[in-house]
Amino acid sequence: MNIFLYCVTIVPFLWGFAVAQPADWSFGQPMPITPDDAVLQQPRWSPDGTTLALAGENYRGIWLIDPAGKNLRQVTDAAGAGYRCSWSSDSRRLLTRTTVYEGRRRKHQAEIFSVTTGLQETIKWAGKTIIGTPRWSPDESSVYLQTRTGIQTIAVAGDKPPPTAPSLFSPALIFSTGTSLYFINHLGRPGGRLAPVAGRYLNAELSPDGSKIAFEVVGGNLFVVKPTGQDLVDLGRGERPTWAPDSQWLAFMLPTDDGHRVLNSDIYLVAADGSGRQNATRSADRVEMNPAWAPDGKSIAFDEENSGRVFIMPLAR
Amino acid sequence: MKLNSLTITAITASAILATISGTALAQDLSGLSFCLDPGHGAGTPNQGPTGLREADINLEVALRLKEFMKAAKADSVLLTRLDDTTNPSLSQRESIANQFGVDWFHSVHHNAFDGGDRFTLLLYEEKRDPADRCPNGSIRGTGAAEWPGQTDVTGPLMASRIFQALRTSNSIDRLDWTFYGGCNGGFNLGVLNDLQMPGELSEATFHDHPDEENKMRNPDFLKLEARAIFMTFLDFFDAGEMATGALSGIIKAAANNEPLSGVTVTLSPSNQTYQTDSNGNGLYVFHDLAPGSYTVTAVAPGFDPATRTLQVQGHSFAAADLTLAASGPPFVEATVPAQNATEVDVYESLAFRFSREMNRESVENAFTLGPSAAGHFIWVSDKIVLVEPDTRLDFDTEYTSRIAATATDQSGRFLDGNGDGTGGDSFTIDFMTKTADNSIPVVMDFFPVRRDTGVFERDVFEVTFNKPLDPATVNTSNIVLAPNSTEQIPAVLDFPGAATRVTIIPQKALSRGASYFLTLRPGISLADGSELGRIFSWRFTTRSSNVSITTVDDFEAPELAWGNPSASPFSMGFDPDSTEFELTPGLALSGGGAGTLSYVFTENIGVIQSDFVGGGQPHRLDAASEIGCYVYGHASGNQFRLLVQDSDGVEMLPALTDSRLGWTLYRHRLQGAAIEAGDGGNGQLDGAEFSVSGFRWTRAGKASGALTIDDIFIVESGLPVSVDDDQVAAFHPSGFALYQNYPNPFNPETKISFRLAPQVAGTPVSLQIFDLQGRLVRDLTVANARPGLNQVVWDSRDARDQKAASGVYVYRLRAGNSTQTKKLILLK
Repeated sequence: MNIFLYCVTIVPFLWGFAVAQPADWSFGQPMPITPDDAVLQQPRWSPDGTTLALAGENYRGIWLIDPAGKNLRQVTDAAGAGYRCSWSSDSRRLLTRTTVYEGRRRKHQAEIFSVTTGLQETIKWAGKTIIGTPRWSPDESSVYLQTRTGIQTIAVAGDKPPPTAPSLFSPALIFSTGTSLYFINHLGRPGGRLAPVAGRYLNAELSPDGSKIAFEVVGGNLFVVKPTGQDLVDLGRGERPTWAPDSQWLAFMLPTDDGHRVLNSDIYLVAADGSGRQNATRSADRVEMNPAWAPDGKSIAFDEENSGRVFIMPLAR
Repeated sequence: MKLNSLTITAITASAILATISGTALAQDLSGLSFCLDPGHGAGTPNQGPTGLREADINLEVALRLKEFMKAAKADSVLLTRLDDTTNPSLSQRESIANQFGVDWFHSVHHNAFDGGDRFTLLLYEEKRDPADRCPNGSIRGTGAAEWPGQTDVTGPLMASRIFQALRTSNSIDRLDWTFYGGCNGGFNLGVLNDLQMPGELSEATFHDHPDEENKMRNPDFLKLEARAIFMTFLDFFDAGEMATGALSGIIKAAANNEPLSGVTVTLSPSNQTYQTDSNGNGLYVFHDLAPGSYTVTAVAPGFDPATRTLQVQGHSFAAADLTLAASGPPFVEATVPAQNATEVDVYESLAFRFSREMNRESVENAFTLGPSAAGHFIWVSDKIVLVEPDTRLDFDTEYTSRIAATATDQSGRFLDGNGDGTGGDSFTIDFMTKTADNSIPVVMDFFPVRRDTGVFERDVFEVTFNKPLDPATVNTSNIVLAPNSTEQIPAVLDFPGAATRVTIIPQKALSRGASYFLTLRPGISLADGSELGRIFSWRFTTRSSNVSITTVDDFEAPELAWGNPSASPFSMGFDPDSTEFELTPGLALSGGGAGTLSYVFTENIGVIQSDFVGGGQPHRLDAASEIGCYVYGHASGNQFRLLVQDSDGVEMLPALTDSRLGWTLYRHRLQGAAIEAGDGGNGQLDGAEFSVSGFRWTRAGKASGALTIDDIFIVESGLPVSVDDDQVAAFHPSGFALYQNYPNPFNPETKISFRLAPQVAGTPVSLQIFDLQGRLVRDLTVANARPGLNQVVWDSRDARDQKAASGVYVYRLRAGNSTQTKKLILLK
C-alpha cells in the first residue's frame, strides 16, 4: 500500500445527531507491528492504549504487543481465545471465550487472563455454548454469558471502578441476539431491546459515551441508532465497526469477495451522522480488515489478510 | 432456492409419510450446533445451461440438511442466509458462526467449469506456515489440515457419501490452498480461513453440466445430497445411523439412451410410486426406506415395463437404473438403397435402420445378398447397420437383399418385415447397380479390402483398374498410403508397362496393430486423359500378433551370399553359361540391391537352384514361424519356391507361379504348409529349428527370362529375434538387441555391442563369428554378460589366432531363447 499523508475534505453536514463534523482527516503510512513469521489478527486496544491484544490464526490463542511493535508475548494458546476478547477497564485483565474438546465434541469456557501476572481464572458455569463472547459487568464484579437460554450473570473477583456513565440507567453493554439488540445498563440490569431494521445483526458496538450504537446487518448495511431506537442512520455497506473515542466517528472494513475468496478490503471512516465517508487505506493489493481505533484517537490498528500481520496507521484531522 | 422455481415431483405423499416415521430413530446430534452456509446469494448469477442458479441450489440443500439435523435433535442449526434476498459477505458468514460459537461450519456450493465435469469435490482449510514463504512472498501451505483429525476426516468421508448419493463421476477431497494453485496463486477459502471451529466446503457436483442441472431441478435429488452430508456428521460425531436408506435411479429409453419423463416407478413391497418429472432427467428417488429387498418397476406408455430387484440398507444409498424398450416388434425404418432403386453405386454400402436396438448377431446371421458378394457388417449403433462390400458389387446387376425373420431385437422379438405390426416375417429390398462407365478409370479390385484386418505389416498392396492408366498420373500424390491425415508412408508404385494393376510397396514396415488408409485421388486418369473423378479411400488394419521379423538377406551386402546355380547338384536342364544369380540395382524394395536370376532353360524339365551360403543360422520353429520374400516376376509361368533346412534335411516350401509382371509377396507359414521333401527331407518340418538353405526356380513356362528377389525374412513369435536396431531401441529399451559393429568396415579391430534383457542376463551368452560358408571363425562367448549394454572387441583373428581373410562375416548373438545376427566387413 502506498499510503502517504493526504487530506480529505468532508463537507460539514447535519444529520441525525445534528452535530457538524470537521472532516479533514490525514492518514500516515501504516506500519507493521507484528513479525512476518506469524499470523496475528483482530487487534483490540487496551483502554490505556499501551497494549494491543491479538488473536492467532483461526482465533487460536491471545498475544500482546506494544503499539511500537515491541514485547510480543503470548497470553494463552487456548482455542478460540482470541475472538473479540474484552479488556478490563484497568487494562490488566482479559475476558474471553475458549473452546475445549472432549473427544470430537467441544464446549465453551469463559476465562479471565491477567496480563500482569499471567494467572488464569476459569469461570464456572454449567452450560455448553456461549453465544458471542463473555462481557464484563459495568462494575466488573461479574461477567455476563449469553447462552441459548438467556444471559447468565456470574460473579468474579476483581477491582470495581466506579461507573463513569452520565446516567446509571444509560446503556453500558450491548448484545446482539440475532434479530435484535439487547442492553444492560450501568446498574447491571436489563436496559431494553431494539430492532430498528429487519435482518440479522452482527458486531454491535456501543459508542464510548453510550449515546449511539453501531451495528451491521447480515447481507445489508452498517447502521447507527440511538439507544432509544431513534435517529437511525444508514451508513451504507460496511462491517466490524469501531468507534473513535469521541463517539463522533467510526472506522469499519469494507471487503469484497467472489463467493470463494476475499478479493479486497479497505478500512473506511465515516461520521456517525453518515457524512464524511472516506477510504483510509486505498490499497489495491492488500486486504485490510478488523480495524480498532486507538483510545487516544490518533491511530487505527488493523490486520492484513495476505501477510497475516497487524498494522498501525496514524491519523489526524 | 425458491421452491416455487422448481418442479415439484409428484410423489405419493402418504407412502412417504408412512416410512418417514422410521427415520432417525437412532440419530442423536443433541449437544451439537451447526452453521450451514448456502454459498452465494442475491445478485450472483452462477447459472447452469438452462438458468438454474447455484445460489438457489445451495439454499435448497442447506434447508433440507437443516431439516435432517433438527430431526436428529441438533441443539442449533444456523443458516447464513435464509432466502435469496441477500448475499452476505464471506466475512459475515464466518462472523455468524464465530459469534454463535457453533461446533461445525459447512458451506454448500456446486461447481462449474466447462459443462463437461460432474465429480464431487470437498475442500477444507490448509494450515499455512508464515515462516515458510513461496518465491513470490506468499505464505506457503503446510500440506496439512488446519483442523487435523477433524476436517481431514470429514472431507473424504463426505466426498464419498455425496458421490454415493448423487452418483457423480468421482469424488475427491483437497486442502484448499494446494487445490487453488499453491505458490501459484493458491489461497485459503475466504469462508473457512477465519473460523474458530472446523468447517469444510462441498461442491457436490457441477451445476453447469446439463444432465446434472436437470437432476438438480428436482428437490428430491438435492435431498439426497443433504442426506449424504447429514450422514457424514452422524458418522463423525458417532451420533448413530439412519435407520432407513435411500433408493434412486434414472429411467432411460433403450432407443436413444435418453432419460424419460412421465415414467411411473412403483416400489414393491411398500407400493410407493414416483413419477419422473418433466425436467428430462428420468430421475426417481425414494427416501426413508426400511432396509429390505425391493422390486422397482417402471411403466410408461409405448414401452414395455422394466423391473429390477435390489437390496436397500439403512444408512446407505442404493441405485437402480432401468432402460425401457419400446413395445411391439422391431421393423426396418429405412434403407439405402431404397426399394427398387436403380443406378446404385457398386462401391457403396447398404444401410438398414431398425426401429429399435437389434441383436447384432441375429441380424448378421439373417442377412443375405444375391448375387452374393464378400462384405462385412459395420454397426453404427444397435439400430443402424451398414453392409459394406469388401471391394465392390457387380456392375449392371440386379440384387436382392434380405433380412430373414430370425432377426430379433435385444428383447428377442422377431423382425416385423412387412410392417403389419406382427413379428416373424422377413424384409426384402431389390435394387439394380449401375453400368460400368468405361470412359473413365474404374476401380475393379483392390487389396487390402475395406476394413481388412490382420494385414501383414510388410505386405504389398494392389489396385486393379478397368483399363491401362496414364503412367504420368500413377504417383504417390494420387495414390496415398497413410496412417492419418498428416502423415504418408513412403511407397514405391510399381506400374510395369501398360498394365491395369498398380502395386504399392511400402518402403518401411507398417506398424503392427495400426490402421491405415489407402486413398486414390481423382487425378488418376486413362491414357486419353479421362480422370477417376472421385476419391476412393478405405481403411485396413495390420495384424497385432506378438511376432518379430528377421531379415535373412536384404541383398545389400557387397557380395552375394548365394551360390552359383551351376554349383548346385540339383540344378538341371539349363544353360550354365547363360544363367546367373547376381546382385542388381534398381528393383529393390529398400536400399539399393536385389538379387536377380537371369536364366535359360534348355530342357522342358528344368530346375535352377541357388544355395544360401550367407549364414544358414538356425531360427526357432514354432506355430507362428513364417518365411517369405518379395519376387518380381515377368509372367513366365515358371515356379519359385524357397528351401529350408530342418533337422533331417531340405524341405521345399509351396511354389509360387510367376503369372504376372511386377512385385509379389511370397510368404508361407512353415507349419501346415504344403511342403515337399527336398534333399534328405521328409516333406514336413521337424525339430525345434530351421534355416534358409536356398531357392529353386522350376520350369513350367517360358524358357528364358529373369526373376528378381529381395528381402528374405523370417517371422517368429515371442521375443524379438532380429529387427532393426531402431525398432529395438524404440520398443525394447531394456530388451535384447545386437548392434552394428563399429567401425565397419574395419581393420584390425571392431567393437560389437549388444543389449541383454534382465531375464536373459546370467544365462550363457554366445557371440560367434562365421564366414559366409557358415563356418565358425571365432567364438567370442561372453562369460559374465550383464543386463543392459555390453561390448566385445574382435581383433579380426580366428580361433587359431591367425588373421582372418578380408571379406564379409556374420556375427551371431544368442542369449536364452533370443538370437540375432548381423554382418560385418573386414578390409585389409
